[in-house]
Amino acid sequence: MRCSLSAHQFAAGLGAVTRAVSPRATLPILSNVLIEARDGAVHLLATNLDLTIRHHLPAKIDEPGSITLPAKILSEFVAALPDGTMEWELDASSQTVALRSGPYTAHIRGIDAAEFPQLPVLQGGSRVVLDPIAFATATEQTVVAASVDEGRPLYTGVLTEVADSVLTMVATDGHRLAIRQMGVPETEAGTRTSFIVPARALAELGRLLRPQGGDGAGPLSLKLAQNGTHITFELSGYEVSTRLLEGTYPNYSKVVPETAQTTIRTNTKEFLRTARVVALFARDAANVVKIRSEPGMLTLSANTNEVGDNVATLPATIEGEQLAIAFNARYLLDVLQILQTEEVELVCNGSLAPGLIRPVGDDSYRYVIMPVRVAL
Amino acid sequence: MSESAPTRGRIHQLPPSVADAIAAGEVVERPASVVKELVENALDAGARRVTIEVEGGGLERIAVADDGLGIAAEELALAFSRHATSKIDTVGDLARISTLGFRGEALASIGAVAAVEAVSRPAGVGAAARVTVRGAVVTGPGPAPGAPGTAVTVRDLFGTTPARRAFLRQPRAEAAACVRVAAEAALARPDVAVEVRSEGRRSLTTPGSGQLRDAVRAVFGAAAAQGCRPVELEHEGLRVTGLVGSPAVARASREACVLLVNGRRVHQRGLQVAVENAFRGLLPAGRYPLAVLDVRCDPSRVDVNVHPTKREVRFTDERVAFAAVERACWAAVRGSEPFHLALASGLSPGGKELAALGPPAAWAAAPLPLPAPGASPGTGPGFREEGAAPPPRPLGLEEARHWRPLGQALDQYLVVETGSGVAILDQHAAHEKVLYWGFLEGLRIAEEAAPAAAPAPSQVLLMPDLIDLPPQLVAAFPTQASLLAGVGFDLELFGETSLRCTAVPAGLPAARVAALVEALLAEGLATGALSASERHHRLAAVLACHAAVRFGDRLSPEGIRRLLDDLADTPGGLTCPHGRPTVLLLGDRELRHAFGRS
Repeated sequence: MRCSLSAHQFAAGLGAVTRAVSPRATLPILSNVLIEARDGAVHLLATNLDLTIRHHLPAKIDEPGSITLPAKILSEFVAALPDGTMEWELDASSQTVALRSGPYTAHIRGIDAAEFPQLPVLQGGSRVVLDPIAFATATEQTVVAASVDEGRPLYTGVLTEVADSVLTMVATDGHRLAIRQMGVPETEAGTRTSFIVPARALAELGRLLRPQGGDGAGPLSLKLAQNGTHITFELSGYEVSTRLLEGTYPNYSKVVPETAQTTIRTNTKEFLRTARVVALFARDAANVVKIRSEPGMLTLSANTNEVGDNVATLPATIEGEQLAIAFNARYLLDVLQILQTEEVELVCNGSLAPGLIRPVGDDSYRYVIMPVRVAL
Repeated sequence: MSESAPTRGRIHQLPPSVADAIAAGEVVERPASVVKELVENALDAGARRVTIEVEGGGLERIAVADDGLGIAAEELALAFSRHATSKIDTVGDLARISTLGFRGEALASIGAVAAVEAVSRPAGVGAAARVTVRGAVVTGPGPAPGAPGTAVTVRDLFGTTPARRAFLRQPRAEAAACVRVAAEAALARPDVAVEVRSEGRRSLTTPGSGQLRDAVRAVFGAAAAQGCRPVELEHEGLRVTGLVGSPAVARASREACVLLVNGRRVHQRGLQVAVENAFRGLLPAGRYPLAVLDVRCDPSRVDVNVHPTKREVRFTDERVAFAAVERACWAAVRGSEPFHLALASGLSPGGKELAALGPPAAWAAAPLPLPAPGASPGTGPGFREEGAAPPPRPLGLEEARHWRPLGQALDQYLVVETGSGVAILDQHAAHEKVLYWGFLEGLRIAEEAAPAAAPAPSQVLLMPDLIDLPPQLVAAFPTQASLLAGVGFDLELFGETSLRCTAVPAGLPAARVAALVEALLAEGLATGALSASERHHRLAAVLACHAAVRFGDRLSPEGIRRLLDDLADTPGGLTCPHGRPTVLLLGDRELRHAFGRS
């Protein structure tokens, strides 16, 4: 294998791909990145067997070939290089790659590419084209409600449904639920599908989408290909594949409140700041912040025996009955941090019924938050 | 440990009314009983130094010599007749006993089953006198050489009662029991120098410095003495003093828990349980606290005349005594030093490798600042604790608040910088202990049927959870329902094999609910017969174990900071509810030593 390519492009691609490398890989070779030079491009692949990220970038190929190299040292080396042309040459007998860029030369010992696990080749199923920025936002707003606890695997996933040109993403950990809808500009006629994507894979995808969109390179198309057990997201040289979670997602539609005994409207940033300050005193496991409606304002409070207590108010418009309710501060902060509208609405039906948080002027997002029962 | 000045009346035969008031009973069961009686006599005689020798498991020879007041020649023979004593006169005296002995039975009983020689020389008298007793026949007194004080030698114990000998254990075990009895006496009276020789070898020497810690060092070793914390508490007229060992110096048997009531060694199950209760959640199964405690109260509040060997006493209010001991121990032990990680010292012989860490169980007691010697002996009752006691530390890990987290290792351990080194925390164990206290409180409130006071915070679930369980656990649910509600569960029966759950203890990850409910019901079934506090402990431990972050969970920097702060606020935070350490300290000094820096 002999080739040359842009050090800067390679570093960027490698940075994205290595997000799939597990810091504690079960197989030693999974700490490596598979690098293949063929067909006028260098192909990078990293996987932890659940999540796989592929990337290809243009290169001048003098002699095709492949090798796997340790992700960590390779990333550190190329990230430190100034931009310029980088030349690769593999010594097949020692499985060592010579990397040259300007005055720098490195020899990195690798493992034979033949030892890298064979990954299933995905056959294209239905495809949906999405706006990457909107999808990144939708991902961020739903992933936050997913569980990180493997005890109930379905809750670590995000239900993704496509029907009638609308994509719906849903996540819950049993205590809160996030629902986000977005239009699908291009779908094959009559596409109607539903699958559960691991939240972690979506979070990695979201990180990949953000800088891409920020490049000003124009809208990027994102495609979903599905074969039943896996899904692949494709965009400009990248492919993110993940195993899907199997099972029947709980029927979430019933828990979204449809009535509104109390509707509170307030400034999102102020609400976030107030909740953050008050939550400093919500220190025990329950992490409870109490919310009480007063005429024209909200009172937030928290107390912990060992620490003390903390009360704050913020102006709010209150409609309906007076409200006293308590939430896990974490659940409240999680949603307030990711809302982009200036104002937010909190809809409640008493202190023990589900609360609903939604951005004012944006009907595409709803966040249901279950109260904590305490002495109010 | 006698408060009264060692003065002595004339030995005389007790009137029958007194004799009858004293329940009859066998005093001498085994060689250790002889040692106990003779040592008590020596202490009652005001000895400053007592020497005990044991040979042939005590069957061949037991010799106890003291430098006490001595017995006048003309009283020496009378001392061997039953109910002959100098310690009490009237029945009324029984209610005011301040000496260890009083029944007037010991010497007579020993004389009945062994050959006894007593040599005594009262202070200020020029010569000693000797009597010998064999088969209850007293010979003497006659003149004999002897130092001031009394020396009693017992030979051929149970020689005439082979049936009794048949019940004894191996000589080695009997000798060990003799040493133990002497050691307990030494612990009870740190102001008396006690020397024990068993089979010709010296097995114990206490300095008689008056410092309990010195006696503990002699009996249990230097590490134990260092790991002990002073106990001092008054509770409803009872005063509990002594030393109690931190969890790091706990023992594999209950023998290291020496309990005294007004200076008298007692084997009181209730008080023993009180000490162990204070250590609940601090010791792993099979480990028992090390403690030397004296409970002082007005003699009228305790009846010592319950048992011929005075092994048990009876308090007028047992609960007060129990509470006093439990609180006193807890107050002392909650300030225990965390465990230190023991580093093997120095470099390996090859000089290439660093000394490896000690074995996994290498928890060492923390070095405690030792008190300055020479404190003036106080006159108050109970143990006089050393002048400069270690600085009071209200909570074991309060300083964790000031520790600087360095990060998480292997998603299992937290590594932090302390003021004087490095600490490694087991994240699961630490979090478990933090949660344990919250749950324990919830259970207590639920049991006391005052849930309105402060219900445990309860997270309402988005969707009801159906929990499938074995039928016997579902059947047990109604009896456990209030307890489960007390910690924050909303559960109701749903068919024969499941429960419907609509709310869970706040802070509990949703994914673990089913496993936890099952574990709680199983534990509740298993612990139904236990005392309420023990049951609460077990249930809270189960809850905490399920709710805590797991060994292997990644924690955020804020999460780590918070865990440290919470641990600082947690009483007894140095161990998990099962008694394993949460924190291992590695001091700068130990590290320097291990790295070969001077």
